[in-house]
Amino acid sequence: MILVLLAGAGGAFMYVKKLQSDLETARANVAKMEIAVQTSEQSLKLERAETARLGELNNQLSSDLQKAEQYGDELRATLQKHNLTHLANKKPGLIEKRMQDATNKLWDDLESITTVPSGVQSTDSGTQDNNSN
Amino acid sequence: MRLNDVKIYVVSREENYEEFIKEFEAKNGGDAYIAISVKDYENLSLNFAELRRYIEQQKQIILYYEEAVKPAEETPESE
Repeated sequence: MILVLLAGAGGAFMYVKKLQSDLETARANVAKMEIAVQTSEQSLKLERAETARLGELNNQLSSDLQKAEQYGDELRATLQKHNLTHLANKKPGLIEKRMQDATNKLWDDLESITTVPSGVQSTDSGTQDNNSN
Repeated sequence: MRLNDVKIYVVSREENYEEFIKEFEAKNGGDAYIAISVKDYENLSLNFAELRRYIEQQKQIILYYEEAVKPAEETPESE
């Protein structure tokens, strides 16, 4: 009888030990899972922020690309508005000055938009030769 | 980019042709020149406008990629 009781108590003790061990393992697993979830949430948050940032950059790029069309659009409108051949025939001096000013401005604009930022080696090959008349 | 100056003459036979010839010869010592029609001048202008647009757009695209590949700023993690 005593032996049976001792065996039962031993079995119960072992069972409880096993339960405690399983519980520890489960707790460790839960802790790991929590860390994994936190990491995933952090990654997701970063990914969303990055997507939003790239979206804003895309919108900015579209707007800037559109702005670059402005000069050509204005030029086409000007050329359509005026009969340059007629004006050149009637007022060559006036048209010459306007063409010269517009051309000079175009050179200046082209030089301006191709200016190399400071810290970057320039590859300029022009001579700024004023040999023209 | 550094560009050279270009002088443009607008010449009309009925208005200033003779004057142009005299002025041009006095300045250049000869009477050979390259002529371009008004229509072709317009085309030249439009071509330059296209080049300008292309350069500006390429610049914007480069800026876009520079910004896009920039590493995200480190944010302090809350413990």
